Amino acid sequence: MSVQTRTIFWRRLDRPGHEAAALIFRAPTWCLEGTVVVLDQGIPCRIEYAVVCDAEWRTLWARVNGWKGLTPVAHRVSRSPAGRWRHNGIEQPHLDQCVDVDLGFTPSTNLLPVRRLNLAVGASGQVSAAWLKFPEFSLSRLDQVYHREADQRYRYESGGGRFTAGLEMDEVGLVLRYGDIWEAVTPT
Amino acid sequence: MPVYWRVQTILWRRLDRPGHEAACVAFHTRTWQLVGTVVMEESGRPCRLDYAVVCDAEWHTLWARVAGWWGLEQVSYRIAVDPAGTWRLNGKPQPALFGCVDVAFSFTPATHLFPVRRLKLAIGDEARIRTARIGVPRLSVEAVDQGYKRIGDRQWFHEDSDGAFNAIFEVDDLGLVLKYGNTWQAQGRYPG
Repeated sequence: MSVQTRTIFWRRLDRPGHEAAALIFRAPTWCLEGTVVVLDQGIPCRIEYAVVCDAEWRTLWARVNGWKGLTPVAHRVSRSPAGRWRHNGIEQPHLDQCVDVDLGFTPSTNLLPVRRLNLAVGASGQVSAAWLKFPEFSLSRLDQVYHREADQRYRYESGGGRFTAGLEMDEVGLVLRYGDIWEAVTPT
Repeated sequence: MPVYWRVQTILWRRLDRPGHEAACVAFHTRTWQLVGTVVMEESGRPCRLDYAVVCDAEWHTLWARVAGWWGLEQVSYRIAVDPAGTWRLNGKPQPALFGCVDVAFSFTPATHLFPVRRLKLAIGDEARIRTARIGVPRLSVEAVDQGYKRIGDRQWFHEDSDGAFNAIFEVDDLGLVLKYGNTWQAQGRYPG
């Protein structure tokens, strides 16, 4: 079994918070794992997650655990080989077109469509992500566009242009800078 | 006594390097439980540590664990003290820690809660205690003689007995650190 790991440390720029994360290849799956410690509307939050993808970067499942203030957080999201999504065991037919999971509390999951699409510089790709919104933890479809502006720079749009951000990424697709929201402190 | 679950949560920022911690104190089944997660940079490498400490109802440490990773290294320690006062680290007796009552972790301000609550000092009073100080992720285990002096309602002076180190810290009504020297500062609490 082949195991490769890369670790990264991000600082949240728009509110108090940091995240430590790891990208791990355990043949034949990719795994993104991280822990976010952040203040949300004055409430301390600790959120731990793992996302597991197949070798082509299609999401297989994700789990999210932790707490926000006095409220426990526990979510499990999965995608069957036929493309059917479940959230905590409940089928989510409105997500049938989605391939990637997008966890709203971390910059790590932008890596998934970027690696999957493998765009040439100058090219754009459209995806629909199953978006676990933070802090609501609701799961909805989010249409996204990635435009590769340079080797390690993307323009990201979601919701038909309602949100845009510049993404700088390292050579494996981990975010080094996500708009004015996240910045890598310790790229490794 | 009522059984509380999640009495208080708190978020600290590390002031001397990039890092945050979220922690929670609860009283549950006649024990005090402190759990927290630190994400920080340590010697240029990302580090994530989850810890838990369980104390008896009078704030004597019973056991603690730390688990996480530092760069590509996995970290996992379990510390326990038995009623005879023998401390163990991952099952191995630590005779140097005999006589220690509290555990103190190097990477968090949370463990000052134990002497603050246990000693119940009046303002102006001070106490000398011996603490089991555990350094992580670079492991160190030592018994440290320390002084704690309550210099105000919610203000304390803390020093190592050899004089190598001292700091003033402030606590909330539960005894959790709000500001510790130039190292840690609370940025949020819930309930507030």
